[in-house]
Amino acid sequence: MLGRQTFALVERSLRVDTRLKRTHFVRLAFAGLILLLLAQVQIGINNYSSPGRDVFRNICWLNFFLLNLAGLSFFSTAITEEKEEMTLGLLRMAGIGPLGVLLGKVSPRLISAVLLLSVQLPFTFLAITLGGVNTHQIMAAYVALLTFAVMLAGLGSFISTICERSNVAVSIMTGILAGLYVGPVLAHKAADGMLRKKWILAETMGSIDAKLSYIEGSTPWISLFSERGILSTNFNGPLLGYQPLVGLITGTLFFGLAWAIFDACTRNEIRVAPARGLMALFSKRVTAGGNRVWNNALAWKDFNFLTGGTIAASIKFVSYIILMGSMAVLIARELRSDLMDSIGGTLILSMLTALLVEIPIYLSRIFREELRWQTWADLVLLPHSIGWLVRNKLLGILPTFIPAALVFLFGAIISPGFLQDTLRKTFLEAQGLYLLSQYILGLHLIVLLSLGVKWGALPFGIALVVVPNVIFVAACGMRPTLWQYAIPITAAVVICGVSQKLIGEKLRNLAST
Amino acid sequence: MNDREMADAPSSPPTAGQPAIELSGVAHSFRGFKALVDVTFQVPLQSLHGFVGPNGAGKTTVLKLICTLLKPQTGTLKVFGLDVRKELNEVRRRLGFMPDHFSMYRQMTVYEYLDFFAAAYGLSLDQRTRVIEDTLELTDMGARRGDLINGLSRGMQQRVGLARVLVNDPDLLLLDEPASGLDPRARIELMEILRALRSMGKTIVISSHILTELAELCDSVTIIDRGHVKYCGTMDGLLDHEADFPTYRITPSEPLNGQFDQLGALPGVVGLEPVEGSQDVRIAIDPAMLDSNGLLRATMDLGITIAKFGPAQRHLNQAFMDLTEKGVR
Repeated sequence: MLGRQTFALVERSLRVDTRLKRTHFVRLAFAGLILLLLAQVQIGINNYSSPGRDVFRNICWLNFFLLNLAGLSFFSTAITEEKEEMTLGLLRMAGIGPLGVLLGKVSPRLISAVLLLSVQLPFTFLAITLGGVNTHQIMAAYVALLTFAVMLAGLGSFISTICERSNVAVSIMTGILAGLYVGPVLAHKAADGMLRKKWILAETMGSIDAKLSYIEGSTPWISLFSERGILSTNFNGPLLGYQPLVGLITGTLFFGLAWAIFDACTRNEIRVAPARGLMALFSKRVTAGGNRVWNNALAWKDFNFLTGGTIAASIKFVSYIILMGSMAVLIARELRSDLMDSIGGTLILSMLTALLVEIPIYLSRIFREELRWQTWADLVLLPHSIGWLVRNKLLGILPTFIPAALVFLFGAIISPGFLQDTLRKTFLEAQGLYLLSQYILGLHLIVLLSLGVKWGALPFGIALVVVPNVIFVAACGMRPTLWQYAIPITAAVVICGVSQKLIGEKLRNLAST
Repeated sequence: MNDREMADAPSSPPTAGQPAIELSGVAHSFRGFKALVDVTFQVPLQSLHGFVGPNGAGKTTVLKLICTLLKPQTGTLKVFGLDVRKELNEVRRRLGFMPDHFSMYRQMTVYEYLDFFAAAYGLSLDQRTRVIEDTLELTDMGARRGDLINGLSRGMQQRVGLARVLVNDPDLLLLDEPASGLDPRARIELMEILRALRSMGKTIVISSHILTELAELCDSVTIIDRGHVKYCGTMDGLLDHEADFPTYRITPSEPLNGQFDQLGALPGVVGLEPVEGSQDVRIAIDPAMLDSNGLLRATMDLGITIAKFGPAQRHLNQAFMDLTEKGVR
């Protein structure tokens, strides 16, 4: 069963990976990053009560964040990318069985993640000399992270096997991870509310909390960072505690499931084509006497086929109204004074968050879809400049933000003071400008990455902004000075300028490939 | 002029006598690999020009240079007298390029797809309606206008692709392997559409590997191999042209049998081969030793009754093999 062919793909992937300079560069860069964090703490050692633990905590956050990104992009697309390129059938015809394909696609990615963690280990032991953390904690932390990687790999292989498209797989993985982190908190809040209304008994509440703690404890979020977690003072738990065991069992279980259903899910080759989405369900088709393409054809195309058109915008608008209306009712029940300000503030902040999340999602797809379906050259051949194409494509995604903007506007009308305060904090205070600059930098990097990588431009763009900022905050503390803020803001402006130039050049070159 | 003005500027009609495409000393490299070396050729106005070469010869690179997807690194390239470096948008307005791969918005219907491109070219609503009807009629896709492109067969998708490049009424059509992957019926129908387009006064450059169809269809041809132009001229010129010796085709009234060897032994005859599927022979002579009259006389002296005698035309396949080198690069 475990013949040479089973490991043929693994062998090949590892060989290719080893030959790539990029692989070694990333590992080196990561080790360098750890050293930088250590050096920065060493320089300002007097500012820390337990510098070793603080620096190690930052390293663990970084690893945890990157593992989540890997789960979203690397692991969940392992099989779907073969399906989309219609190469899975060829692999099967070459005699590689389901286990061979799964191992060949998933294990090299897992090994890469493990190697990335392993390369840090010798350096992180230096944290012991800085004080506040011991060898047992470091070992336990890495076991927690490694087993979490196993869990993500197993889960990713399963999702990737059942899904036909990478974007669906990534969405499902995002939903599962979000559910793992936020689900127990929301469930606890809901149960708490029911307890206060006396809909459930205190014992039931205790039982619900106990069950929720099992779910919560299955990720390093709790096992590492909670008050009684591995990084707490005097941690003396086992190396292979609850979370590592759950990680190993879940990972293996889902990998086994993927193996079991692999044939059933991949038996027939599916021709992947761009989807009509919501347009297929409700919109009238363009005809000579009826609906027509707008005069701004590019905007029409992206509004309808990238963002889902009027239907998606209407669904979003209704959802926002229902969600925000419910929140307003909840606030009205809790508060007696400053009611309008609270509701307005909630609307403004919620819609601002919705916009901040929506914009990078669409930007990561605006050119990627053209490149994926090889249609970019057709647009470049129009008698317009690249700049014109970019501007009009951006115009096409703007209407999709109208629902959030309308609710935001309503919030601003009922609470102008809150809006004024938000605008002042964003544009007149250094911290606001710093956050804004990093956000805009992130958008640029996401677009640039989307022109080069098949999947994961969004998480990698976020990572590229978050990681240096984690170091910045670690170096400067939570209250940096005005001059310290100037560094990332200036860097963001410069990188945005360079990115724009690179995006233009790449768009020009990609048309001819 | 800004982009909008550029897009709206009226295009001047092609001038008679001026070549549609003019390449002179064009070279192009990709990371040190010389894809094109000193490429020089012209495509006559309102002609159907075949562009032939083995895989990796540089055909697609030339087409991409002409359609402005690539910028020439050296040499000059003019389309209707317009420099592709300086008058990029004007060139783009006057040509339609259909690449060898099926790059389409497959989630759109046929009508949406054509309307989208017509609008993107800045056509008014009335113009769009008219031009879409015309192109649908020409490509015989009117009945499928409401169908999703994704549900169409490859041949039909190819027709939609062709309709798309016609929506801006270009003077020049560049078609990269338009018949690849099509069944014989779809290929023949495509060739008929191309003939119809030529009769409308369009200049068409068609890159293809299906040489038989090119020979029937094209007025002129360019053969390219390993980045070098090996031949550029009329199709007749290519087929009449022999690399070494003039060749004649003899149609005897009766089968040759034993006279075939005698014919081959004649002084001055350097090559003799039967023409497949007939009793004809192709005979190559050394002009220093024998001319066409001498050959005719010597043949009749052998007792062969001749029904027909004339210069032999090579098959395009043969011309292609003669002009291009063996192996791939």
